[in-house]
Amino acid sequence: MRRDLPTLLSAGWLLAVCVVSITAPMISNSSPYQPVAEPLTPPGQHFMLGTDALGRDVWTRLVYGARINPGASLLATAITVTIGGLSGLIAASISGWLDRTIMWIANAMLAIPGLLLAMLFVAAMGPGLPTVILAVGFGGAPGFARLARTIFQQVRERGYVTAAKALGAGRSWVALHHLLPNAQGQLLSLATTHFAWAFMGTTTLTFLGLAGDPSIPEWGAMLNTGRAHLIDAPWLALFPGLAISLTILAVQSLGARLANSESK
Amino acid sequence: MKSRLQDLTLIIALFSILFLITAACSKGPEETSTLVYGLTLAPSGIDPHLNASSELGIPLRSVYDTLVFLNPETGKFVPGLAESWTISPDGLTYTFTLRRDVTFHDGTPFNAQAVLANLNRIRDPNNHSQKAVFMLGPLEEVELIDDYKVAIHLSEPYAPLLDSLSDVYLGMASPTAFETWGTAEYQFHQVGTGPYRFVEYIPNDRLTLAHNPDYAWAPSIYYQPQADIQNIIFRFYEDSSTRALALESGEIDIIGEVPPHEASRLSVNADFTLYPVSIPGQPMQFFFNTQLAPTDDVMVRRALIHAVDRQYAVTTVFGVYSVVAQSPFLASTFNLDSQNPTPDYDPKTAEALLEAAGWTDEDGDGIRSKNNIPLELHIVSPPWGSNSEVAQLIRADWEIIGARVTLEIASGFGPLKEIQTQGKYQAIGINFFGTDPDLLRSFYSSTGLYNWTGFSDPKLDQLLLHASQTSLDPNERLRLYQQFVSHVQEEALLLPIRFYVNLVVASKRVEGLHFSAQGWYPILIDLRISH
Repeated sequence: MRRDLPTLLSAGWLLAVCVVSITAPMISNSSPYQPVAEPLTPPGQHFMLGTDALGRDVWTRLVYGARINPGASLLATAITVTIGGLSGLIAASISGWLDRTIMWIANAMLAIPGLLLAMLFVAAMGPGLPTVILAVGFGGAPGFARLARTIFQQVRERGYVTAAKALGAGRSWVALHHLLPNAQGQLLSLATTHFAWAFMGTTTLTFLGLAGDPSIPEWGAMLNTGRAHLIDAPWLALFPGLAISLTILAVQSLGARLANSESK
Repeated sequence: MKSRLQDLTLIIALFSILFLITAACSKGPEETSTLVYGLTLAPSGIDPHLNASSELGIPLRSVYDTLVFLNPETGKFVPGLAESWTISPDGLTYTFTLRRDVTFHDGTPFNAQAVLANLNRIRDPNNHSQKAVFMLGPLEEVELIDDYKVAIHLSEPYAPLLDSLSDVYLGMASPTAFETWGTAEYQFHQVGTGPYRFVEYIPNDRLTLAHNPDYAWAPSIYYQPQADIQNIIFRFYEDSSTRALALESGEIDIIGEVPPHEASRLSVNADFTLYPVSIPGQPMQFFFNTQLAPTDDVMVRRALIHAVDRQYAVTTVFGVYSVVAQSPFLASTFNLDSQNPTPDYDPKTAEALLEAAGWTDEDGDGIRSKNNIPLELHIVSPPWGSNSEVAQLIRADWEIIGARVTLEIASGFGPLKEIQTQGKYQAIGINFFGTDPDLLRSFYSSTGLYNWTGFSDPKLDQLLLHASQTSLDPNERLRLYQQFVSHVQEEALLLPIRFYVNLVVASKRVEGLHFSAQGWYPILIDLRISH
């Protein structure tokens, strides 16, 4: 992979988020739930990023949020990749009625935007972080399944697969020994771009207050509560907003880089 | 293709000119006598006899008159549609003599038959009244003595009856109108006798009132005999962060429930006036669940009250506009807040109480436990009125004394009720407004509809029932309710936060703004617009 500046910056930001999330209790000495100072203290010497309307340290909450948002999105992506990838693999390796049925279901679900699907899911299950993760995970699955199927189909048409089939290899053997290993790279870059979508999805749902508990130090909810103080305390919305945008940007550009190097 | 594009441009240009002309025309002389009032909630139904929202009274209090009115300054009842009334010595019969000069907005006369028709409509079980029917208490029979005299017979004494009859939910509507439109449609065609006429209601968009030029029966609590402003349009602003902006942009002239930090900002602005209005009733409060461990133990409940810095919560969330509540009820006529205050913030005592109750942190992980069961607390909060902000601070305070706390915000009244029914909570927030303390009965008597503490004590039930029946002596009622408060404090059933103060902000051009005894409802007849 050629080193270029956007890739370096993106990787740097994501690394920083990872480090911060692991070392959260060390780099901040207060609890994200406890008020520490006068409410709406502006950013300054004692409180780097100021305090929120309830007097909690914004820096501490952002730092603990680095554990929640990326973690939640990772879990959601894992659900999407597992369900979507598996159905894509099944559809590609067993063509015929099963392929048509799976794709018919995926297309029907794609008629509803993924985020709307996720919202419907949360509305039915009741708010909460686990529900949000499941919702975004399931919401992304139909789209992922379709793309994964295309990738598997491309691999399926390659010569060595035809050769293996000619030698009498079964469908599942081909799927596990040829399709899956050879589609890995493309699947990974697809998953990376999907992670950006999942990140956006989870923060959108928590922004809408669907995480249930507003005291959880979570970036989407922080951005939402900051909205009420845009005039008198703009830092409340600014910092979580930046954290969300930078993370999405970083993941997107890494994903694009990955896809590029894959196609070369 | 090109000519079609030109046509389109021409059409757009013509439309913009037309629009400008109509816009210019609408700014005629009557603009000064139209007022726009912002509402903060779009209620699901606005029929006062059938629905329960406080918001509906803001416009409709001025569409309807009531038999009596409650004077917000003296706490005494004054004549309304009834020019006089008598109460029998046993407190079972209220006889009202009605005014003879009153007509509804549709021209039909107001008389004893109309009162009967109204009360029958409220009591009709098919109409499923959510509030008004409960306000009538043990009403047994309505008797027509003559055309302008009506007697209400009760099966047992019921002190809050006059208070109920003074509220908009028992406003007198035209029987002709509700018979014409039927139960479901009447809310869009309401007809009363008040200083304003109902013009139209488009849900989620607007509600329009026009002044009633025939109004000649204003009660003594209204300063002016006739409405000054011709039209009042009500619009909905459910998102609290948009309310101040709507005022500043000139979209609306008045709005309530402005967030405290915005209210502070606008109060120093020369274009606006801030009116903090105290709302009588229950405070913002969290009830402890006495049916579920660990809050089934009164020691734990006391510890949890001591652990919360209520002063910090009130100052942080409500700024300078509210004081900490000490008791379960406050109204100008029933001040139960001065006696028996709720225990103060004292985390040391809280921890000592928990130790004494057997909750200790032996493994040093910061979480107390008893018989290997950790001290876990689940708080459920309604979404409205800053409840969730206060709940977050309560959560923080309870964590400090060694509890593991989870917080859940219900998305509306329905979900809140559902969680309550499942019973999996240690503390839950709910409060009602009202001028008579009898509303406490549904919260604290064993069989009460809102007995969310699950607490049951025949002594308390007896006390509340007795207080509702000693109708003729307000001092005796006050004494009984004080006894009730000390009982409730002893059992540590609730964590009171603050009594509600509605922050109403109005443009400087609005004059004469004052409110009914219930606090929520502006007296629209007295509003004026300065030029």
